[in-house]
Amino acid sequence: MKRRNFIKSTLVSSALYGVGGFSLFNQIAHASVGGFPTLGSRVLVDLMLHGGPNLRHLMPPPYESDPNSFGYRYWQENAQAHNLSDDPTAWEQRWENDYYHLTDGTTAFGLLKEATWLKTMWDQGFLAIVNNVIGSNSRDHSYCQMIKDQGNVNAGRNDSGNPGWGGKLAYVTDGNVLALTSSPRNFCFGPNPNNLSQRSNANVISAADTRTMRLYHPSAGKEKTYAGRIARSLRAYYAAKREEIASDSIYKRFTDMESKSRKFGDAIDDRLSQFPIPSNIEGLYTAGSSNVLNNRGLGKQIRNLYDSLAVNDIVNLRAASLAMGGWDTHKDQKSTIEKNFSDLFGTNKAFDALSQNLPAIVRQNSVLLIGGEFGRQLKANGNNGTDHGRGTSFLVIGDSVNGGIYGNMYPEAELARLDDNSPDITGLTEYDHIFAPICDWIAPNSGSMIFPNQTAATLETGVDLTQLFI
Amino acid sequence: MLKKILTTASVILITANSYAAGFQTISNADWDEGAVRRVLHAFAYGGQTNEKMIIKLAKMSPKAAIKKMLTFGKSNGNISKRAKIDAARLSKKTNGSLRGLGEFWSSDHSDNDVAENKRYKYSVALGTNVRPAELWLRATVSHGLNPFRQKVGIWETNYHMAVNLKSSVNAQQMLTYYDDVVKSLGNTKRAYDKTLTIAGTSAAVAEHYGHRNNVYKNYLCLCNEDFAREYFQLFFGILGDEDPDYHEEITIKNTAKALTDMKIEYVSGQGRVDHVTFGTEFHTPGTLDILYSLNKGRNALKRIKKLSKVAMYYHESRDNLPVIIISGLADDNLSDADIAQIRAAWSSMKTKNLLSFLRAYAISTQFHNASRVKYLTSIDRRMLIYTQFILNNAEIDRYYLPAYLREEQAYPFEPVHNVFGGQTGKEAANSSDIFRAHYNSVTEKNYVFVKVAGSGNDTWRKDWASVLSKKLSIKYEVDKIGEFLWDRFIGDGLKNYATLERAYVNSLLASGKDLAYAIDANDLDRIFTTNELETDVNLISLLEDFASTKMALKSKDDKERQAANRNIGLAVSFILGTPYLFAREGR
Repeated sequence: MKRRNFIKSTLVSSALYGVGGFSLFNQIAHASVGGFPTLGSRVLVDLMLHGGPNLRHLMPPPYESDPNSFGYRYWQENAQAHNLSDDPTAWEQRWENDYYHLTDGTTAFGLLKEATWLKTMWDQGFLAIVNNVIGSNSRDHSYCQMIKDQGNVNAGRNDSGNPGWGGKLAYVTDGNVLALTSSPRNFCFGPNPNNLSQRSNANVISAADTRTMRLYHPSAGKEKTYAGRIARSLRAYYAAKREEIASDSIYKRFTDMESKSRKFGDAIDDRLSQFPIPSNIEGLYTAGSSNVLNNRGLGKQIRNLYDSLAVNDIVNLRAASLAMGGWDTHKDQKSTIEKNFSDLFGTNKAFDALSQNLPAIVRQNSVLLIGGEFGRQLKANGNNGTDHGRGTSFLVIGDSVNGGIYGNMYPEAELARLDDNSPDITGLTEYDHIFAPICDWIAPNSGSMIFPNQTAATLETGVDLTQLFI
Repeated sequence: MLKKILTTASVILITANSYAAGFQTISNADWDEGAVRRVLHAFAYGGQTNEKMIIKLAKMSPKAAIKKMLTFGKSNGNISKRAKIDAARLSKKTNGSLRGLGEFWSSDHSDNDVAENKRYKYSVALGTNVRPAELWLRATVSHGLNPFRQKVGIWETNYHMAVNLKSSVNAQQMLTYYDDVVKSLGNTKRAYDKTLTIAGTSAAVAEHYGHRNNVYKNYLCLCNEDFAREYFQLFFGILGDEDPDYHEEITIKNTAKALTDMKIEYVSGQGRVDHVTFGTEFHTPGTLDILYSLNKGRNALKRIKKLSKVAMYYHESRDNLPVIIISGLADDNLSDADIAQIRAAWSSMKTKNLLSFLRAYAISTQFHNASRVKYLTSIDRRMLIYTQFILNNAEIDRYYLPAYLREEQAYPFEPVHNVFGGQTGKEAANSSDIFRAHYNSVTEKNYVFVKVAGSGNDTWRKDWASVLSKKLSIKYEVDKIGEFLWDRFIGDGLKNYATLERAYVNSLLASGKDLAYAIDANDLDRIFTTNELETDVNLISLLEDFASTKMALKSKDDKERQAANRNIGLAVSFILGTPYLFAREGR
């Protein structure tokens, strides 16, 4: 089935064509600001935090002195995960010294002081915190990662071959997902046109190193070198082979990769050769630099993201996929997780450095979604860490985001469950309600196509995520 | 559909017509040279044996042949033969463990063929910079050892029961972990749960997951439940789906309690030692309800030994573990019928034994079925290339074995998904980054393959004649050598060696030039289709000339021999650049 037929097969096809959704984006001329190409379409940047991040560590409740209060019990039960003693004075000092004290007017919360860029986003109204989110009742990493990447809370354990929601978004918008990780996440793969429940590589471009995207071909004067002979042999061979290979051959994906690499590689390399890497982005992954990240792989991904935005017109960019590990904090949570938060949100670190180098119009047309496959339990374990829990929070960040708190950040009902064996955050809002509005913002009316079960998905009472964007 | 019917039928026939663990065995007629190669490519990076041995194995019954091919011994001459020029019999000089090999390769022994200035890389002495990856890579490509042993060893320790040198696990712990697991598998009568117990109670695992700090004190378990969960899920395939609440709140919690007082001593200057001391002082007392059984034991070791036996026979493990094994090692395209057959075969084994299971599978109709597909990981691909391209142990130092593995996020003992294992074949096959990196490695950087002689006083020469049968290749005829190379690196019984592939390979072998260059130096970008290669009389004539050309691999002229060997290197570069390198099929 072709993309058009896929669209037609959905209930909302008339709405989509009625407003001329995608064609509008395609008509936007590719201009540039200071040499940086503006976006031909809005872009989703999806950052997966592998391991199940404890976002309460980033955004804890204010310390309170009442032993029955949420703010007291949180610090009491999580003191070890913050490397604190049993002394409430230490908890209070920690709260006072290490967290910004923020509020949306109704809910007061803390924000780890390492997360300076995130505070700026909050202050500017660009940060939405969506709470009590859930994808599955399982606490199995790989299964829950699959569910999140597919955006399908009904996916079974054996559905790993199904497409991801980023790939679906690219498919229905006739664009591409750039996979900026070492290998593409499930998120990136769109549907196979011949079997929509299966996935395809057609809308994915792997870009783990955006600065080396071309296939080798000998330069002038080197045609007859040994390298030149083989490169020429293979180029001619693939040119014939891709026309002759059976469409259902298991090797076709490799002839497609050759074709795609040849199509995009030279163009990307040529474009980026005109684009020096900004020094503070290069610093993110350069040992010894003043802003090098603890996780230099993330730094490389940020460079890749910068480059992807710079070649967005060449690759018809709709979504970019990033990932960061190190969030499975069963032990030594404080030292591990705070390095991660610093890498992501610190001054001149990952997203701060990136933002500094993007024109405002690019920032206005992109949205950053950050979250993991599940959350953590409500109490620290005996190893200064926290174990797997189901409910979690997501961060949605962007100049066009309607910042604020969505969902009860600190449900009092949790207090009654603290003595359970494995207490965790109760998931009330399923993925569909966050991801679909993001898709709609990228391409109007695409959300209900990609998340057809949204109406059946659970949503926390009083939460309205249709207002996620301004 | 026919395949589905047949495989479903074969499940029913298991008890009536079965071998070992219950798979339907391939017929003697279907057990041919192609079948032997398929086993070698799936389980031994293609092996390092010669054409005569492949023919010999193909003439045996499948049951007799597989017993010779798949063993966990430190060496197996049936699939990896020592080259005539190799000085050391590694299997005689060492015990075959990575540690034992490292002691020899880092030594000044007169038979040590590691270059003196590279012996430091293989040191295993306490306090030195130990490199498990370098040891494993050399062990895998060394002639006269056992690539099957290393293939399963890396899968067990980097995928199935993965730990990571990038965590707090140190190199000594990792070496011991690998060697202990492989040694246990080598005990052919030992039940598989005992190997999983050895892994689950190792210092490497306790260090990686952090439960070496778990203690039971003042009636409280000061524990993390990380390994308590993954022990079931990753080691045994037990997910607790039947009753998630019981699994979360009883089984996992109590397993964390069972994993208490597992100390790893710290020695100044050396770090933590490579073994666990199982204490009782801070170990949880009494009986623990785990996996619907009552678990008792004075210390963690005793408890885990008992628990592994229970877990191995738990229904979720019976269903999932054999599928994890087969999908991990040999098949990315399992159908429901395949899975049912795998489960039935595993269930039929009273004592679960990995070697018996793999042997039965490797000669099964399922393994040799056309629907089987296994995509190569970067490690698989690089090891395949080196095991086939390196012709003797004295040559090993001329090639950089870890090349590209770190860039492709596939470095041994540093699994990219941490405890969830290294890069999978499917991931590699889904990444155009990896395709591109590989393509460039065989084109732009193909000097590795065309290097045929040492420089200066270095008398080394690449000598493909040492592994080619003059008789079988009809005195080194291009067409036969092309087929030999294709089967050596692709191993598909020439299924995909069609007109197009043969034309390019033969052109390179006969002339050292690509086809366009060989035909017209002024039309270098010409593209040839299969149709014109098969119908254009001029092209047919030229290709016939190429095919019948004799290569000067035994010439008395050194330069002629070098040119012939270089042309083989060029042809290998081309073969490695085709799509057929990236996956293996069942038939």
